Amino acid sequence: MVSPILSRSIWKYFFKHWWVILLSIIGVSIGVAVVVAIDIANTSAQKAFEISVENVTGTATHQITGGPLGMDEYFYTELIMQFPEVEASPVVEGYIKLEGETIHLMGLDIFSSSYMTDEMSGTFDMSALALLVEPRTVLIPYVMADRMDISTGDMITVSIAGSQTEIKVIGNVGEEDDSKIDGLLVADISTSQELLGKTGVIDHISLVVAEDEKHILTAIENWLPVEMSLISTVAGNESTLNMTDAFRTNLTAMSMLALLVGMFLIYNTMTFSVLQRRGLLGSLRVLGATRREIFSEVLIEAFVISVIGTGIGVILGVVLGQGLVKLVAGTIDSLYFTLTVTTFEISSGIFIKGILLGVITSLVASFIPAFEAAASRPQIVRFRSVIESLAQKLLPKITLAGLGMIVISVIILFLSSSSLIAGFASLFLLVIGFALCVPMIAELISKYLGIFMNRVGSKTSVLYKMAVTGIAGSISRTGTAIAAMVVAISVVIGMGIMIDSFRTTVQLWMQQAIQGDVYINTMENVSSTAETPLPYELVEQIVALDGIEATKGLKTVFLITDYGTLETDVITPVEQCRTEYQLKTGNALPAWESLKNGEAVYISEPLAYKNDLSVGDAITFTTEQGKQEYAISGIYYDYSSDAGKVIMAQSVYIKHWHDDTIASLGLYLENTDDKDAIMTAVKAIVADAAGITVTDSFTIRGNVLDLFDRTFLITRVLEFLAIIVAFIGILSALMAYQLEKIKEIGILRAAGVTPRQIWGMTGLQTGLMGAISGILAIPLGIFMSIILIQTINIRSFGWSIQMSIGASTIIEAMAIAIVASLLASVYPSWKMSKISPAEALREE
Amino acid sequence: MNKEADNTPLISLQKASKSYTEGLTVHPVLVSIDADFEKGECVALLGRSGSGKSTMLNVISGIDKLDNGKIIIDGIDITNLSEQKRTLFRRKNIGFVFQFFNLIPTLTVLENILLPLELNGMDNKESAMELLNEVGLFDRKNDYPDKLSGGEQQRIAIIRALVHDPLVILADEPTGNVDKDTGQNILNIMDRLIRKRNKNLIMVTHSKEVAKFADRLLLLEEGKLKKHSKEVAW
Repeated sequence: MVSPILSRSIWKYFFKHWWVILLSIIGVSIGVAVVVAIDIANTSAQKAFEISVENVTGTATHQITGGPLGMDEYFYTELIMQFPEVEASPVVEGYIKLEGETIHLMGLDIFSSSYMTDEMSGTFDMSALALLVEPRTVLIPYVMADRMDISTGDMITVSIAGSQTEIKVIGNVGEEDDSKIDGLLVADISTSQELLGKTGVIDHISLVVAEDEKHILTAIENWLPVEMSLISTVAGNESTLNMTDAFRTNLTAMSMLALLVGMFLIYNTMTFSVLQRRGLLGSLRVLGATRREIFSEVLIEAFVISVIGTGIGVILGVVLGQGLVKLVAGTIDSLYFTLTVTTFEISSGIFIKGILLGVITSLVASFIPAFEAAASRPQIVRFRSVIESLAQKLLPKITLAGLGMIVISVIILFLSSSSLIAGFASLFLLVIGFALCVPMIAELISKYLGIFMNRVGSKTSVLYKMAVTGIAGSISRTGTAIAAMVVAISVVIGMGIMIDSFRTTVQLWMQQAIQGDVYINTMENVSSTAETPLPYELVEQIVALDGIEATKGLKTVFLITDYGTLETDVITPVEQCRTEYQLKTGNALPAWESLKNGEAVYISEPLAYKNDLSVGDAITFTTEQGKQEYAISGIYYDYSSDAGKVIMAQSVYIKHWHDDTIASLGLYLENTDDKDAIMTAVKAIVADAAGITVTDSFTIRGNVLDLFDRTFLITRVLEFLAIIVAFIGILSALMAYQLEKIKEIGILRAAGVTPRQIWGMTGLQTGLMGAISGILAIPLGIFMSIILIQTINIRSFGWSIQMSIGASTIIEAMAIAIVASLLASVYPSWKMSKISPAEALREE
Repeated sequence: MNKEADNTPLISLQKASKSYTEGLTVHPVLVSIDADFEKGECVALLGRSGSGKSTMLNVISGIDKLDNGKIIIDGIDITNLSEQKRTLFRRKNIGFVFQFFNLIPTLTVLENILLPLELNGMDNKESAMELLNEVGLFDRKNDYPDKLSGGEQQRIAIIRALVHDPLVILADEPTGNVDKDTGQNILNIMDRLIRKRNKNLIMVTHSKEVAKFADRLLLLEEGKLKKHSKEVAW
């Protein structure tokens, strides 16, 4: 057991230097807060995702699906006649809007149990029977009714494909406090068919098949017509839920970067606290304190700091998480799947993980300072120069270790072909390895700058030369501070370049991908498998307008393939839209001809990457004529979805699914000066039709970029937090260093140096350290962004992104470094200028 | 600890050698030194700056290890003890008095004195109080070192060196940082508290008064130890 007085002798240091603890606590708490917040946001959004997916599939074990337009309702009758023992339930479902919220409308056979979620089954009251009798009636979950202040008997106005219509709430569904079915309205099948415009059609049939009834599935599969598929809901849900894996992994990794910066902050402040107590520790070693006792004490300090910081961090994380949930859920909603619920999930697991991470990270960051403290030489005479000579001896070894880590990082990157984890491991090794090389580089810069100043400076520059060469002279301190700053700023640069590159790539892609002049679209999609079509008569009227060179029809549907259900853009392939699909692989003209002639399809880059597909491979679609295979003639760039897309000629789609409707019409004008006039004419044509928008390409590109910015808002938030930690890290590192030099400054003051000159020296030194950090952070930040862009982005999403190193990112990072470092000199300069030389020279 | 016959020296250096390396240059500091220190002896170590006096205190206290040779203290060869064991040996058997006092600034006067006791697991607060009283600083027991004068601090340092009843007190220029009168006062206290308790005292000094205080003088010159007459003019 460690002597209490020994403990007190070490701990009491913090009474006078309370800011050391404060800065360490801030570092831990911000790092932990970010990790916890992202964890909460990811878990909550994923839970909402799971619930939304489950709301579609219910307790069904399997589903029978048809094409994108569903199946004839009579097919259900045939099924239950053929297989009377099977629990089957027809489902007609879609998305409507209520008070601006997206709501899942579920049309059920309420007497069939095969759809029901656990939350819904057995909770219908007698009013549910009224669903059968009274048309246009729905049941609403209790929690949703409370939230939206809707009572039984109320008429509510909903928007379906842009049209407003009234429906009546006749009762409730689910348990009173169950939020899992929030965002769902339940109706009878016929009501749902009528409201969603699916008369005579059902979307799918849900089946509940027990484990020992698998033979029935085989029989059903053999009996099904060729255009139908029997799929497992578990496998299907898993596949759907996995869509967001890469997105969430990236967020988690970004939050870990923030924690890494926090770690450097802790390492820095703990190192300084140990360095400041070297004399004390040396004396204690002389008196007989063992290395183990000193090591334990410093680690206990770190533990206490980490517990306090982690506690604050977890609380901050919960607060921050509430905001981030909305951002993450919004991104999933935009990019992956319509979310009908929002949840805020805080489990004990999140807290435990956050606490362990905060404590372990702090202890790891404090290990080296604790080891250094324990290695304090017992000294009868304390020589500052002894410390620095030791630092000089160790510097080459530390640099070598850093280079070794960089090499290993590169090797991992090249050897791991698609592993995301390996990509991040490589990234972290690069950062730490580079940080280890920084002290040597900083020392060399300082020395050579000093030599340069020697040659060019006049007498008055002696003090400034001291400030410059002092960096090399105190490399045991300055090296650590600069390394910590480099890491912090490089994260800002790396993330900034990644986001800017992505945005620039999307911007350039948008310029190419949208070349039409005017676009007419249906506003709200009702179905999850096909877009709401434009009325034929309106399309005919629009196409007949003067001044239009060509028109491109588009409809997005979800088709069943051997690679799962794929989002497919069905297009009328006019020549004017050929260059909208920039090919990454494939011979442009022949590939287009194949697509146009209905011989082949295009696939997007993410789809090709994730399924290892190349030009020449084929995709098999489940159609009304059975399995149909189409070759891939081109792989095109597409940043609208990381799930992957197919481009198919409308002739192929009509041939196999007998649907010639389109949901979007693009107009290519003969003269772009006529755009306004044509838009006015089109708006007049669609004026009486609900749910149709008319926009120009400029507006569409802007909307896409807005979506991008919203999607990446969360990454920007993380970048901002990294900036805060970086700023605090720089402040702490430099303040600690300057305050430690009070005695040296006292000697200078005693020799006649004025306070103003002290301000100048301190400002110059800290400013130079900030500038060195900023400059060294640039290559690290760029390498970091290369890994993020070329490796992690590709491995996560399958997107190629063009590197774009904007001057603004670099300038912003340099500004942070220099402003923070100059600010850091203010307090020490003020303090040192106020203190009398005698006071500064006194032994503590 | 093994006790041998009374005429065995308490401390014995046998062919003790120590050098330091700076870059490619090796600086020999102690060169094959043989020296014995009898029980209860007070020895002053003289020599120019950089002659290795502090190094000699370092190796005797176990802070540093010899390159060659042996050091035997109270029958125990400390030469090849591990760093941990040397630390524990030093904790129990050695007391230090430094030129610059080296009191722990974050501890009170009393806590500074109690620290060696606590490190050794000894519960002897009364003896600490008695010693404080003996040097006239009982009333200052709750003050911090920065509130004390140099002489007062050195008195506390002497008590701290003694309180755990070590075998040997090592003093590095104990009066080097105080004025002549205070220095004499300190020597009187050392005489009362250390010599009269028959503790071994090895002092590094440049001071004539301290040299005269000692039973014997040794001169460290070019790594070698020589006897030095107390009568030789300074």
